[in-house]
Amino acid sequence: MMDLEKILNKLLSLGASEAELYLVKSREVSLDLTQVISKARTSEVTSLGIRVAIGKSVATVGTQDLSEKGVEEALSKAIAIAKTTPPDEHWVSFNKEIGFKPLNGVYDKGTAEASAEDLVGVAEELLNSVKEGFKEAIPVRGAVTTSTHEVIYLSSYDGPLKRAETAAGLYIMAKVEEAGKVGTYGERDVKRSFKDLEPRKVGVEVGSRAKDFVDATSLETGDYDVILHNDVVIAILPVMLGPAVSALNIQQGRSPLIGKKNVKILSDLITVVDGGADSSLLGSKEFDDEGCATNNTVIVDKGVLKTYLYDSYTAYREGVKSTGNAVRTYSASPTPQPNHLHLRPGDSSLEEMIKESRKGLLVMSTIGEWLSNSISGHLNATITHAYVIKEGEVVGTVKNGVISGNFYELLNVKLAMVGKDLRILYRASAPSLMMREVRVAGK
Amino acid sequence: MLELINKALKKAEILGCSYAEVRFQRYSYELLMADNKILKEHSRTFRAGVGVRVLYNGRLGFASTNDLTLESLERAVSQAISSAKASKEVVELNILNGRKGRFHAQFKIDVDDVSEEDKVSVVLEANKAGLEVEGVKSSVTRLGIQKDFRYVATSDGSELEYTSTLLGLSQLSIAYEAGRMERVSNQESYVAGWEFIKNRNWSEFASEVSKLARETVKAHLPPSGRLTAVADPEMVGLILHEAFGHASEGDLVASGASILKGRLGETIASHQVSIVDDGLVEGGYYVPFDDEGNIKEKTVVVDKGVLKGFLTNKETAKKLNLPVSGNGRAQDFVNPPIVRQTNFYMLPGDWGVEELIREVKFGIYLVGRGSFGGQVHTGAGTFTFSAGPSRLIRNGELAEVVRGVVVSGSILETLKNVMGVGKDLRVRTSVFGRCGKDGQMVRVGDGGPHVLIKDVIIGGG
Repeated sequence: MMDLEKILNKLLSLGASEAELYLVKSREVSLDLTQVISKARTSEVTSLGIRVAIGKSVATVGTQDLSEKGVEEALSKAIAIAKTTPPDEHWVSFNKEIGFKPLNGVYDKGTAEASAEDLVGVAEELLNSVKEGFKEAIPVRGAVTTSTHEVIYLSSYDGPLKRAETAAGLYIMAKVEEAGKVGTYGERDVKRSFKDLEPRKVGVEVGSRAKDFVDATSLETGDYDVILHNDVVIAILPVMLGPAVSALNIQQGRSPLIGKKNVKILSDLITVVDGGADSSLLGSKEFDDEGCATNNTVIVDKGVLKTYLYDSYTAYREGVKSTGNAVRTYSASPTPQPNHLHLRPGDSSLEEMIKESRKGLLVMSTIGEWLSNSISGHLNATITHAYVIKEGEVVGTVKNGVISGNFYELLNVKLAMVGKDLRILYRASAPSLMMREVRVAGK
Repeated sequence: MLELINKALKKAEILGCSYAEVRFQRYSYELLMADNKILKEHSRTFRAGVGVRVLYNGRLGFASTNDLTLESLERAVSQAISSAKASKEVVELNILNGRKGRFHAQFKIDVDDVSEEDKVSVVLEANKAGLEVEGVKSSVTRLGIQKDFRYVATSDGSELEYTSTLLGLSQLSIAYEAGRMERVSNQESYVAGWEFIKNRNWSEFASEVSKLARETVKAHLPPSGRLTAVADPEMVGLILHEAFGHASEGDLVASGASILKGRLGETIASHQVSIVDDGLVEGGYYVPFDDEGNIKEKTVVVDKGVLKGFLTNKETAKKLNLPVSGNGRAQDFVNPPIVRQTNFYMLPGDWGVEELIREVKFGIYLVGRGSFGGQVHTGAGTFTFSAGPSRLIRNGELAEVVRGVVVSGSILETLKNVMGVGKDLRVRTSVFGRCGKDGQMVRVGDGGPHVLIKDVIIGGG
């Protein structure tokens, strides 16, 4: 292992008034699936992030060239950049409150050490179970992966701190062809350990749903009662709310939530928490990317905006405490971002929501939700798979249409029911939501 | 380094691999970002490492390392073999005659000879100009500079290397009016040297983006539903890349995930439509060869509406019984090559741009500038993408600006609905954006002429 203390001291001796090192060791093993396990790979990369400040001038250099010469070059580059960077009047210092929250269950040794061959069982169960969902269903594309992320943080204030997290995931898309018509469906699962993955459940579901979408038709433009399935809510939430609650975007004038603290912005059925220190949620970790202990931060409490998410830069600028939301890659400065957005489940079942819908859609999957505009609050999501509901009954499927509307209307005045079907993926967790009178563009 | 690579190749051979490729990459990325007159980020990334892919017992395996010692490279070879053992699919590769060559993208002023001060001043000045437009609350300016060196050696005798520099500037402006906010962004990138930055007035560029944001915040949403559209070259590039380019990727075709499977020789688009994938084109990204060591030549995918070819690498070429088109690309040394587009664009036709617009009684002029990108579901055949601030067309003339335009549709329907193709052509790339597939991001180029399309689904917002 590299001598990080020595590197830090070198930076200080080269003229840095503050310095910070962020070393990440990543390991990823993955199996690519078609109808069989088609490819496998193992990647190991160690990356070093270097940040220095000379007065109020800050520079970041990241390097994966960890030879002595490579590190040397990176250090001099960092100093050279800082020397020519105009001072940032808002700069106070790197994070000085260095600490961590001990978390159990975010790291699984078996997953960290798993080889490609260890994942074969999961992949085969996943592939084989597709036919159980529907006998003519075939898997088309998928993957089984494990990843390990180990971080060492050290700055001129304190450290080193060490943390490690693992994740394991699987994905499969299946297809059914009947009389020249094609139905497809894809689904995923993510856990901390590959032993907790549920390949059979996912495989059976995609097989059976792919069959449902063989006869999918085109949607008519109109206003619908829309149930967003939990997967779709998970896709939308980080896109719309993540940037909007970032203190950086608030301070820089690009969020619709400026000046809305303690104001009701969503329905009182909605409570959203950043689960940075909740080990039952994925994305949790013991400290953030600048050595600040993570928290479980209530962002929206029964519809009322309680706080923005801070890293040390934005917190110092306002004279408040960081919420432990500094997120960075090795080559960029941290910015405040959610660790894991958790929308608390309500008490309605999916069946009840369907029963309550007159002219409705149960939207199972969308694409392009990331094209939505978090600054104006305008949501766009293109439906790829939805069930059509008439008078409380599922009557068919559709495979296109664009949901568009204001996020802060959809999850406020238009929101009717919050599901109890909590689903947890990596960046977010949420139940299904039902909304009234949502405009959907189709034919 | 080259000696180590040859030793790794030898090692693979000794351990019984019937094919091996070893890639070395050295990469740097510099980013300067000014946010409301403060240089908020000045960062530099250096990467160097080796990726090893082997065919062992008829199965593919891959491993990578950035520890550049012989011991570590040999370990990567063993890990690649272990990965191959986990794979169940027996594949054959279309092995070619090895090609040797060195390629260097042209430039006049080496970016490494430019002072940090000069880079800082370009970004700060443009950023300031962006903020000076009335009603603009937030101005974010980025300068990106990428240098990439790639070397590929394969057991079938290829030894290829290239160097390229890609650089560009982007501006994001957010305008505010009566409680409403709107963002508009634009970027210009080029494979060149510092002369590309030096010879242009970037303050004017940033200012124009801000003025457009100012105009857009006052604009209305477009009507939702089906409209006739004239798409500009950037929009055409995006539609093609998302809606058709991905579906023409050989791996998706072979696995049945593309709706183009089994349709070679069929008429799948209007007869006015011809589409190519080209590794070396003015304005595009620089891909003289791919990461499997195949030379990238111009691949005709659609000729006058007829599907003529797919994009392939060594593996999918064999599966589909097609030539290797040189599209086996990897994000970096950490990832194995997969089938990717290079510069995917529509060839020009014979309509004047004004002629196209004159054809439309009521419709929309879709502008790519300011788009935030798009996505496609190749299996379901649906795509979606955002357009930048666009204009309605009324009685054959451009009318008011509309904001928040989102276009979606079915891939084949849209290409069949092409009613006219302009005689202009523009291909673009970006040092800020990349295209994602299977967790890998690569730089691409896209474009085309102006195109008239009927029945495009527009979602306002």
